[in-house]
Amino acid sequence: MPKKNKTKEQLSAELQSLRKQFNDFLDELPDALLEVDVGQGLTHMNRQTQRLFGYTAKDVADGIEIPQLFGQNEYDRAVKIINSYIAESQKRKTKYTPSQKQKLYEFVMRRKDGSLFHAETQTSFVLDGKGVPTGLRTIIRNITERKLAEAASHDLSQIMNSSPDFIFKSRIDNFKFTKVNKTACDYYGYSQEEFSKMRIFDIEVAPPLKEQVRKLYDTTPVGNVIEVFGTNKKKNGDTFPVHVRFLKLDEEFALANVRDITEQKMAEEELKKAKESAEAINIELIQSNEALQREIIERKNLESQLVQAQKLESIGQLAAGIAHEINTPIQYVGDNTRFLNVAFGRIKTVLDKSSELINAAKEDAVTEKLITEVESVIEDTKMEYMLEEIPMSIDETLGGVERVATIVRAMKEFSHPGTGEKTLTDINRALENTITVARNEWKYVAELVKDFEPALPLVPCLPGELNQVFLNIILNAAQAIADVVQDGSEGKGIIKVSTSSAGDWVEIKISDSGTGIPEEARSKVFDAFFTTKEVGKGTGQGLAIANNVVVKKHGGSLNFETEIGQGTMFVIRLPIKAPNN
Amino acid sequence: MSKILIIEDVEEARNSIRRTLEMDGYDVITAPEGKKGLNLIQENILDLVITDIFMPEMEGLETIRRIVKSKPNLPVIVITGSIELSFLEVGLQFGAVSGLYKPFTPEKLLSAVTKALE
Repeated sequence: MPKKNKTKEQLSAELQSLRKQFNDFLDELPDALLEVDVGQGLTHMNRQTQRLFGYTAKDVADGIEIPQLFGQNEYDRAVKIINSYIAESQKRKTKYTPSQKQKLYEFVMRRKDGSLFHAETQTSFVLDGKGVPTGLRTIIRNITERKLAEAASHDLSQIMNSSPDFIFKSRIDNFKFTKVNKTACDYYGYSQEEFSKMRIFDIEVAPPLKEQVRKLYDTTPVGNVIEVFGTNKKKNGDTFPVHVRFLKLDEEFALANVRDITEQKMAEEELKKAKESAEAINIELIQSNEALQREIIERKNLESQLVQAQKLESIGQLAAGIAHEINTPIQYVGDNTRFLNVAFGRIKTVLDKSSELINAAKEDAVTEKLITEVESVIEDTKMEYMLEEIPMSIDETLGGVERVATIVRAMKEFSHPGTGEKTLTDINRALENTITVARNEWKYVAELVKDFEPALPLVPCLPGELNQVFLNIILNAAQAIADVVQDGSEGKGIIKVSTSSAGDWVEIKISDSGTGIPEEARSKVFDAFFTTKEVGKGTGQGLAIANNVVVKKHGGSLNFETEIGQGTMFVIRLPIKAPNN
Repeated sequence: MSKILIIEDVEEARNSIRRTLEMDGYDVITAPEGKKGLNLIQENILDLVITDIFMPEMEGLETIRRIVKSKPNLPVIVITGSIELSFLEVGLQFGAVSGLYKPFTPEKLLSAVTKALE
C-alpha cells in the first residue's frame, strides 16, 4: 500500500488508532494525567486520574466538566494562572517551548464523592505551529499526606518559635539536636546551625550518663512526659537552673521543653527565707511568750514576796510595839511574883508565930507576952496589907501571863506565812489577832470598838495576806486619828471594826475618826507607792497591796467612804464561795 | 518616910511598882497619866516621881518637862516598856535623874529610888 494513496478515512483510522495507543500508554503511567483542549475542554483523563478522582470510565465517556475537579475557587485560580502565563509569554514575545521548566502548582481538588485532596500539578502547554497554546497536559499528584506532614511540621515550628520556653527536638539514637526554637537560640547564645552540631549533653552543667538517658528513653513509652530538674549553661558560660519536660515523640525523636527556673528558685529561696524568718519570729514569739510567762510568774512571786516583805516590814514596825506590849506584863508578873515570894515569907513568919501560940494554948501556957508577940508579927509583916494585895497581885499576874500568851499567839497567827492555799478562816479571830499585834500602835490615840457578828461564816482566804490587809487599814486608821488627836490632850479617837454577813458575802468595816482622805488623794489611794505620809512613816504600798489581795486574790471588793474632819471607813467584801482561781 | 508618885497607864504595872515600893516602906500615890500626875504633884509634898513614857492624855516626856519646870527640885525617874533607847535619853535630857527599861527587877528600882532620894 503506497503511502500517498492513503485515504482520508485511512488516515483518520490511523490517527484514532494512534490516539488509542497513546491513551492506553497514558493509562499505563503511574501518574494521574489530564489533557485539556482550549476549545473542547477535557479531552483525556487517564486511569490513574480516574482512580484519583473516583470516576469510572463510563463517567469519563459521559463527560466531566473541568470545574467539577476543583475545590471551591480553585478552578478560577487555575484559569487565572493559565491566562497570566499566556499573557506573560505573549508580552515577552517568547514562545513557549516544552523544554522550559514546567511549573508546579498546588490546588485543592475535588473527588466525585465531593471529598477534597491536596494535589500538585505539573502542567505543560500544547502549542500550535505559531507557538500559541491550544491545550494543556497536567500531571496530578496527591500530596495530601505531604501537606499534612508539612502542616504539622509548620504548626510545630510555629508552636516552637512562639513558645516562651526553650524547645529542643533531638534524636533519641545519638542525642543530637535536630531542631531548636528561636527562644532557646537567643537565650543560650547558639545559632540553629551551632545547635545542629551539638548534643543534649553539651548544654548540661553536670551531664548525666548517656546510659541513664538511654535507659530513660527506652523505658518511657511514646507520648509520655518525663520531668527532670538540672542546671544548663549558656555559650558564655552562664549557668541557670532548669525544669525540663521530655516528651518522647516517637522512637526516633524526643522533644524537650526547658524552662529557666532561676526566678522560681529565687522565689522559692525567698519563700524559704521568709519561712525561716517567720519561723525565727515564731520562735522569738514563743520565747518571748515564755519569757512573759516567766515574768508573770516572777511578778506573782514578787507580788507575794512584796506582800511578805511589807508584812515583815510592818512586823518590824510592830515588833517594837509588841516588845513594849510584852515588857509591861513581864514587868508586873515579875514584880508580883517577887512580891508573892516576900508575902509567902511573911505569912510563914506569922504562921510560925501563930503555931507557937497554938502549942502554948494546947499546954494551957498562953502568955500575954506571946499574944503580944504574935500581934506584933502580924503587924510587922503588914498582914492586913498583904491580905489585901495578895489576891490582887495573883489576879494581875495571871492576867499578865494571859496577856503575854495572847500577844504571842496573835503574833504567831498573824505572821503565819500560810500554806499558799486558801483556807477556811474565822475572820473575827483574824481581826482580833491583828488588833492585838497592832495594839501598841493605836492604844494611845484611840479606843478600839469591836462589833463582830458572832456566827460569821468562815471565809476561804489566804489568812496571812488578809491579816496584812486588816493591819494596813488599822495602822492607817490609827495614824489618821493620831493626826487629829495630836498629843492626846483632847482625848482619844475611835477605831471601829465590825463584821457582818449578807448573802454570799462577808463584810468587814474598819472606820476611824481621823482626818479623812483629801479629795485630791482619793483616786490614788490604791496606787502603789502613793503616800501622803511623811518620809519614814509609810512606803505607800499598804493599800495597793490591800487592793491586790482583796480584789485580785480573793475576788472581793475594797472601797472607802471618807469625809474631811470626820474620818474614813474602809469596806472589805469577801465572797464566802471562793471564786475559781 | 519618903513619898513617891507613880505615873503609869497600865493598872497592873502601876500596882506592882507600888507594891514594890510600899514593901520597902515608901508612901506611894499613883496616877494613870501625866495630867492627873501633875495635879497630884501640886496637891502633895513629894520626894520622887516615877513616870512611864507612853501614856494616853499626857505622855511621860511632856510630863517630865512640866515637872522639872514647876518643881525643879523634885527628882523624876523615867521608866519605859519601849525597847527604843532614844526615849529614855530624851527623858534624861528633859531632866529625869535616871531611867529604867522594863522589865526591871525590884532591886534595880529600889536602888534607883534610893539614889534619887539622896
